[in-house]
Amino acid sequence: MADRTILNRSALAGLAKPGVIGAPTGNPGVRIREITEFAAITVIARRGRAAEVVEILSRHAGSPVADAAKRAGNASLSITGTAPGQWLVVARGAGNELDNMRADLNGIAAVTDQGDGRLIIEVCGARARDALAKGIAIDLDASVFKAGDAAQTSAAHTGLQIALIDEAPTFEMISARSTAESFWSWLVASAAEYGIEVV
Amino acid sequence: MRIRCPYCGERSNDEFTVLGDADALLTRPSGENIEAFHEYVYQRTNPAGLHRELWYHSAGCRRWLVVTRDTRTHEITNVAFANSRGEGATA
Repeated sequence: MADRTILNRSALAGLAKPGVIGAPTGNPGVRIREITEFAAITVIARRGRAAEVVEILSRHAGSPVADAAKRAGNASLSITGTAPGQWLVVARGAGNELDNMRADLNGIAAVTDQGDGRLIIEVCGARARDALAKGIAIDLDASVFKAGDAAQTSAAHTGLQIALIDEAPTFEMISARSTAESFWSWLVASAAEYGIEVV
Repeated sequence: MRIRCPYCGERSNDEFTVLGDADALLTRPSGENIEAFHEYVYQRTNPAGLHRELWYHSAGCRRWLVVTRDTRTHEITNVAFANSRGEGATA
């Protein structure tokens, strides 16, 4: 058998290269950053145990976690509601804290490692909302979609979890790794007229 | 048409998949009575007016919903989770 080497590559490795894409505005309207080092788990509360799970997740996040489409947490750990009694937990970096969380949730929730199965990008800039509106049907206006709000929806027929991290605005977008390349094509095509900076 | 999902909020109907008459589908008879099972599988009313339907939020929270819709106007008067799992969640 031929020798094989398994490479640890992010979902957009080779695609999201630092630099400027699209209109040379001198002041890119959209900035995109891929989060390349993270660990992720899904948490699904067992029947009737959602309140206990919320309590444990809140303790780990250091802020209240809701059983709702909201994103809570801090710079290194985020917990986002995806369905009733379900959350996606993302730890940036090595993700060692997820081991403790998994132990605390033992018996009251189903915890499933998502490995490197997701694409995570942050999109910010003055024209970010204009670019995202081209493929996302939900209302992302600042008056409606506020910091800490999250939604499970689709972008250009690709499943998408989107949340607003801050009012800069900085959007966090999480999608399946397997369709990351087509998702990237849509995003670049949509944002090109405003000028894109990949950082 | 837009459907207000109890978890996700108001969404375009293209995020959903419709299955049909909720009351017919949620009352499954035993397979022993062949007449009743035939009714369950094939027979549907076609009301002009309020209709309770099963919709699956496939692009959102992936929950089955019971949507009460007026078939004449598409006005939706109620949306609820099809099972009790989602109780307590807010949009």
